[in-house]
Amino acid sequence: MIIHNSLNSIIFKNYLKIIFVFFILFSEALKSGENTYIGYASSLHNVMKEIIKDYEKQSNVRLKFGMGASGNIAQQIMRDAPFDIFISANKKWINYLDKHHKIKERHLWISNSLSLIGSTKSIENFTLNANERFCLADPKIAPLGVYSLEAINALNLKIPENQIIFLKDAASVQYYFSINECDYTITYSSNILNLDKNADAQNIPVNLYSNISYEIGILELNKDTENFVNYLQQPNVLRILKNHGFIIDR
Amino acid sequence: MTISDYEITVLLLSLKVASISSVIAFIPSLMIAYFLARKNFIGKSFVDGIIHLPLVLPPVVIGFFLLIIFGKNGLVGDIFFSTFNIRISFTWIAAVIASAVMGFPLFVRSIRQSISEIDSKIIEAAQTLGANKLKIFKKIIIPLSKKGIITGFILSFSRSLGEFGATITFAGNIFGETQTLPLAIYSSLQDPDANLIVIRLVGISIFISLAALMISNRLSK
Repeated sequence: MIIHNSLNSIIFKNYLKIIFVFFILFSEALKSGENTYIGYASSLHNVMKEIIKDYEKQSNVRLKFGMGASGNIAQQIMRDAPFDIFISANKKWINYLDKHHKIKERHLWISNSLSLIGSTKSIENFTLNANERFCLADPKIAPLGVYSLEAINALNLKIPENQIIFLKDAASVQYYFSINECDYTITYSSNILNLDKNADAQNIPVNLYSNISYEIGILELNKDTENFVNYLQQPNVLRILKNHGFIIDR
Repeated sequence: MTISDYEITVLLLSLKVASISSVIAFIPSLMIAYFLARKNFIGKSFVDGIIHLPLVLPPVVIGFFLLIIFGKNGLVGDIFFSTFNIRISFTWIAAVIASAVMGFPLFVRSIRQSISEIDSKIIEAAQTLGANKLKIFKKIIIPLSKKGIITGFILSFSRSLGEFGATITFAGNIFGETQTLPLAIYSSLQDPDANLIVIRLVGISIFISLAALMISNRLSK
């Protein structure tokens, strides 16, 4: 009890000093601008982990990254999130930031295609039973959702509204499909390789939806961001991307 | 200022989920609060700890556990799916379960507090006058812990109105089905054209929560 009381009084008397020490200790962590921050579309997550690891090994530069639906990252940037580089799964969100003068430089990067997952039947004969669920990415923020709806309309697939579940991004679509919460989904062909189980996948013809092109936007022009964006165009990096199922245009 | 159909749908769903989850949580909370306040048994502190887990764990973790239990592949979810052809996850029932679990410790805490404040002499007197356990529970315990029950109900109700992490993980964010106020605000925050909607939803949220607190204060006096 005595120990308890004396500890209390030490804390109480030195309250301001303690706060000051904490502030000094953690202020290092609060400093921004010394790291390069990269925000990217969630469909890139698996491959980016590999690319970033390789890059850090050879360059001794520390990269910090955040992922989500492209629209979500774009919104964070509009609210002053400290991203230096943004990779979007469509042009729309780069255009949006460009319109608000956030983008200093932009580069077209790689492409992707769509697949219907979960169905053994051919796409033309696809039907949904009453208790089955079709998961889609939310078209408001995730480019995957926009492409998926285009494909669904072009294929004239009849999916009752109450059987569609909209998820926040491509990564969520992949996760909830992998734990069987979704019976079917449309996802990027590059994500199929990451699905654990032997999912039945049908390629959706590329003429049925807009061109899926990833675009890199540089928000902060400096040596670090320039080096990393150059690195992303190197043949060995493009090879990694190709192995993950992305389409290399050149 | 008129309220839009979108806002009405979100608001009514939030109120539906919050009230049903609080009603469902009431009986188990009362039972457990009674045992924790009045009985001593082996493993009491363990039970106490388990009950308080939703209060200290990140809500997303609770959502994940619920998904493991009630998902299509989960222990309970599998039984429901194979026998009744019912899926629980991503329905409003999932939102109710998530809210009930998150509000449960708050409910138990406030009822338990009231029950433990009841003077044992009153209960002993009732026993000597021949009242059985059920009668004591109905005529003494419940009336004397009325304050705690009301506070617990309002706390669990308010917790449910604010529930986000467990709900989005286990019930998703489906408009008209599981999109409650916080989820609607979150969705609107991501949409560049929805700034006004965010402000309106935040206003509704503050109004409802404040009203719940004021009603609670009035009732528990």
